[in-house]
Amino acid sequence: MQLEYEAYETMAIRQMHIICAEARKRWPIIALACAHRVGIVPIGHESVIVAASSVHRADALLACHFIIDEIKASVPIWKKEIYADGEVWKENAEFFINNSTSRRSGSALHANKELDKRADTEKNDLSHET
Amino acid sequence: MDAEFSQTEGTCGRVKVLFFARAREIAGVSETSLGIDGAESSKTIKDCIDLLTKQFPGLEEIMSCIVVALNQEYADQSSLVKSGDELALIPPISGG
Repeated sequence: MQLEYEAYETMAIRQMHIICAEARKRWPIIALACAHRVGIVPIGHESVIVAASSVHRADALLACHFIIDEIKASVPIWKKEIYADGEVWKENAEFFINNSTSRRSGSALHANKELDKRADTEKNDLSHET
Repeated sequence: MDAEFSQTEGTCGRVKVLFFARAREIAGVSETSLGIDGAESSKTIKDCIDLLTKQFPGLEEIMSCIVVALNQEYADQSSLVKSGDELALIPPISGG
């Protein structure tokens, strides 16, 4: 089985910038980067990377979590599984959740009430740790 | 070859349409364009979708789960399109 990624590149990059800007609004992040591969990605190899730095680790970890969830919900990238006897386009559940709440209009970020609730809960949990 | 709301000469008055993933496989092309200049009234994204499904009937089966982007921003199908716009048909995504 092979994995192949396709992207609407200009919009994907634009959307990733929007997501990173939103992460910076929510958490005090020092540096942030994310990248996604396109084309064939060998099995077992990473297809996406998100890197964040912050004074306290909770903020970087929450920002990474948020960014990955948002990438899965709104960045126009598609994965195809290629088998000897056929091909299957995969579909992220996050895309359907996002589109049923926002009903195909406006920014995907407005629809993430569940993520906001979870982020607040996790922030409280992680702050007890440090 | 490209679909039209009205007959128009030249390259202006057109909306570029991009197809991705399953939509691209069904349409058989990664891009096309729709002529909108000179049409009797303003056209919406929905009007463009209707024209596209006439030109590429196979798209009908996936239209219920397609979202659209207008000039690289997600848009509602009631949004108006204008000459020079870029429309993209976005099937369910699977990055990350």
